[in-house]
Amino acid sequence: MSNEDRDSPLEIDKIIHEPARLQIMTQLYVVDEADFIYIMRQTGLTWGNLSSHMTKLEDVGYIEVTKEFQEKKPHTILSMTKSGRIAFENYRKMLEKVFEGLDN
Amino acid sequence: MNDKDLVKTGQDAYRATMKDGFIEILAGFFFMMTPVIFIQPAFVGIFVLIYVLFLPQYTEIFRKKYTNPRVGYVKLRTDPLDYRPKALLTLLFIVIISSGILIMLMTQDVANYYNWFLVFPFILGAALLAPSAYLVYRTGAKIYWGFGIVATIFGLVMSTITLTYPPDGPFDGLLAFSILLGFGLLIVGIVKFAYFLHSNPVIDIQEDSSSEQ
Repeated sequence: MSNEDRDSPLEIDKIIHEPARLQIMTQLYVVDEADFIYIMRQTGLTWGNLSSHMTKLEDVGYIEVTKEFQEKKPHTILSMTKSGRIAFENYRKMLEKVFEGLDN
Repeated sequence: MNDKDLVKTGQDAYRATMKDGFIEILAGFFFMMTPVIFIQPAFVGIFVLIYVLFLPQYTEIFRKKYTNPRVGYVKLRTDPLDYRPKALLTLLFIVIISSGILIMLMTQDVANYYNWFLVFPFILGAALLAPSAYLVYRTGAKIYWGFGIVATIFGLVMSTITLTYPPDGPFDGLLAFSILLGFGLLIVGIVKFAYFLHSNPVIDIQEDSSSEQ
């Protein structure tokens, strides 16, 4: 992921701006950690979609993915990293700036 | 993505942790067990042992087995408690005044301290409006007012009965209230848990299989 992809002239973080990833980031922002099933249910994403977006968010360091075994089954736990939290807050501020000044 | 959306998402997460009825079952046991300590203080040690040492461990085992495979696992953020002392003091003031009025209406003897023991069920029931308000705030679900309101009305009924027919011991009414409230909560918890199991089948995903994209 190049810097150009991540920062447009409006400085919108395109990694977060994608709707599915925004949903994942929002869910993880309000909790300490959550597993794959929880995020799937809350976002309505399919396993494949979630897996794909999770990898992208993990690659840029916005989320941390921990894999463990629970009753011999793989169990994936996701949590937001500090840089993910900062990026999400910046994204929110940026959106507020974009809509600032609009009457309705 | 505004603050309201985030608050709502946080409330959804909190609500997800309440879906299985486990909190109601625990609270039910708590209210049913508390009178045992009143009757036999030696049970304090066992009570502490169960609630402090074993409970967190068994809660985790229970949720891993029944809750997480159905709705997933979520660990909530531990935000500092918002005590709102003004609201709590106002509630306390209203409860004391209401208790005084109740005693006046039923016995016309507000100076008799024994009568104040008899309104403890009402005081405890009304005090439960505080955790009720907390749950409404955290989950965004107004239905949790129901717990505080039902407990208050039930406490009021119990106190009215004990003021009319004073029991032998000053705490008998309170103990009966606690046991019955606990039993009620236990039933609600069990029904909620049964509904939870019925309406949320186990989600079996193969986390190691390849991506769709």
